[in-house]
Amino acid sequence: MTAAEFRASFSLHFPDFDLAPKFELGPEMAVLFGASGAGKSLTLRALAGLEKPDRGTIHLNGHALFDSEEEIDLPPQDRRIGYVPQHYALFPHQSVAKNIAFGLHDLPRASRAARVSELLTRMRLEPFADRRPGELSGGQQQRTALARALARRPDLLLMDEPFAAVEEDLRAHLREELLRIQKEFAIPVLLVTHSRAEAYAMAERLVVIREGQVVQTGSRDDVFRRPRTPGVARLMGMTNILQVTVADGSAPEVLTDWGNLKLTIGTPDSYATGSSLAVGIRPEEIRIAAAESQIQPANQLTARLVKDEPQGADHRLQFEINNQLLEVRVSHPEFMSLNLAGGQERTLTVQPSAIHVIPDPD
Amino acid sequence: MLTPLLLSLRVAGLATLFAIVFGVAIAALLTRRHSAPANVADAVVNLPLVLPPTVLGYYLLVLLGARSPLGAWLESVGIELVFTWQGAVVAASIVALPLVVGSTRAALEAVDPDLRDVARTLGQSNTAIFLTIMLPLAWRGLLAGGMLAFARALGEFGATLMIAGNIPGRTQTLPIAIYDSVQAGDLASANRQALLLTLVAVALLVSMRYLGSALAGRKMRDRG
Repeated sequence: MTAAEFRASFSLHFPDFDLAPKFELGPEMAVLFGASGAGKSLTLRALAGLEKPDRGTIHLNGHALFDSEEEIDLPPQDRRIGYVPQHYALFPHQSVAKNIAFGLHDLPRASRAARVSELLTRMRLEPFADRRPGELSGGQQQRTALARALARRPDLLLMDEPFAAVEEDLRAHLREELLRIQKEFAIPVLLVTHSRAEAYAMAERLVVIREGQVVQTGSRDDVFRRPRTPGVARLMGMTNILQVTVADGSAPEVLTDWGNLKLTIGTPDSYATGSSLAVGIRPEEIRIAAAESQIQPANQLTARLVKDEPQGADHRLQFEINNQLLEVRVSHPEFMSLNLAGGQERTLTVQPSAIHVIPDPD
Repeated sequence: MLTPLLLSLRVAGLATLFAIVFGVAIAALLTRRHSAPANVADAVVNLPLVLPPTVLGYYLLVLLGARSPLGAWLESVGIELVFTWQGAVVAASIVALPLVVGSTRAALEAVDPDLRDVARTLGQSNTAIFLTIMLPLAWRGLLAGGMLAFARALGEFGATLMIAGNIPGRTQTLPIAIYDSVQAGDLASANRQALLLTLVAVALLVSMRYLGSALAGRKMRDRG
């Protein structure tokens, strides 16, 4: 990994909440992901210098922005951090061009005009240069806010729920655009979201925050496929978490007991016989066998369908087995071809490689 | 020698100007502050709203009279406030001040705090942010406060009478002139003077109503 461009480790105490995030970012698209109230927006505000941590350090490109020991606390004006809050906070009484020029007051007039027109072109905003923010669509507002934040050539860009105010149809397009802009400017971009789909679509690096603490950081697939704790597993949609006991713990196929049932886990690590493990299975990794003949060499579990929640393109099914519910996700066509009905007993199959051992059961 | 109407307009106009200058500065300092000193300052600014005007006028008389250190100093630099129209301006400014502060502060606090935060990350000083973002977005509140202040200053009676007295042509403002006319049994003058003040008050009320509906109209449009 290249040297980190940005490092933060600080704590901020409130009567009812403790924020203490710790993470590093390179020049990449990073997503700060967590449930509502986990401290995501507060983290962004502290990085921008709008909230003062009690202690800790924040470094950007080798410079201290905040260091409680050294009594360094740069004001937001001097941090070289672009900040786009949730509803963009465009200045409603100023035109798009004036909004973009707002941070360029220290440039000579000619270079200010040049910078503004460059950004208007880059963000495809020229036709709207003289419009007020109230006359723009959600996507145009977002681009204006981005242009305004990027105008000062910041070393880090922070965006709080940038797609919340945009119609769903436009989001995919805007996500692509934002990824392209990140590559062009080659600075770390930290984007806050509470949407798992958005986190998955955007993140090169994923920073997971829970109750004010960063519980895991890593590449997108690493965090989605290999969550470190049951809490992260649930946040990432790995909803099936089982407690198993190791019967034969030698890699690459660890045999375990799950109640009266046997589960085989594919893992590069070996585990002591008799030790207990928490394992996670993503709901889309569990297959429902159509007929006995189709059953592949895999874990087989007989379970009873107790609930069907249709969700448009797919179905979220609950199967009861071992006094526990397993969540299974199948596409709508698959659901129809399986002739599923409530109360039915069906055979579920799970590949050993789809079962993930959670390293830190909490 | 000024007619009571012209004197009243001059006193109220100047008092409004002072109330706006000091009121906006105080509102800016108090906005979103809830520390103990800020609360004390807020209480002091609002005192004229609850204090009987004659009591306020009496305090001013004591504070600004030649026997007080402040009055003595003012006299030494050639400023006479007791029994002068300038004294009336001081009284009217003080009673009008809380109206400007309250209305401006409410308008400033209604501005989305994210705007100020973003402006700070864009490198602008707090003063620049106040002048280019906060004030332009709060000017209707300021204007409403200014109009209330003018109306209040125009009607000032008790405190003005205490400090400026009732000297026809020099300190006799329209409300005091009405009182004088009634005392002298000159009801024709009293009617004329009361009608004048009523007309000015109605004109103010109409412009404030217009301002209010213009404000509501803007909010409707912003909903998008």
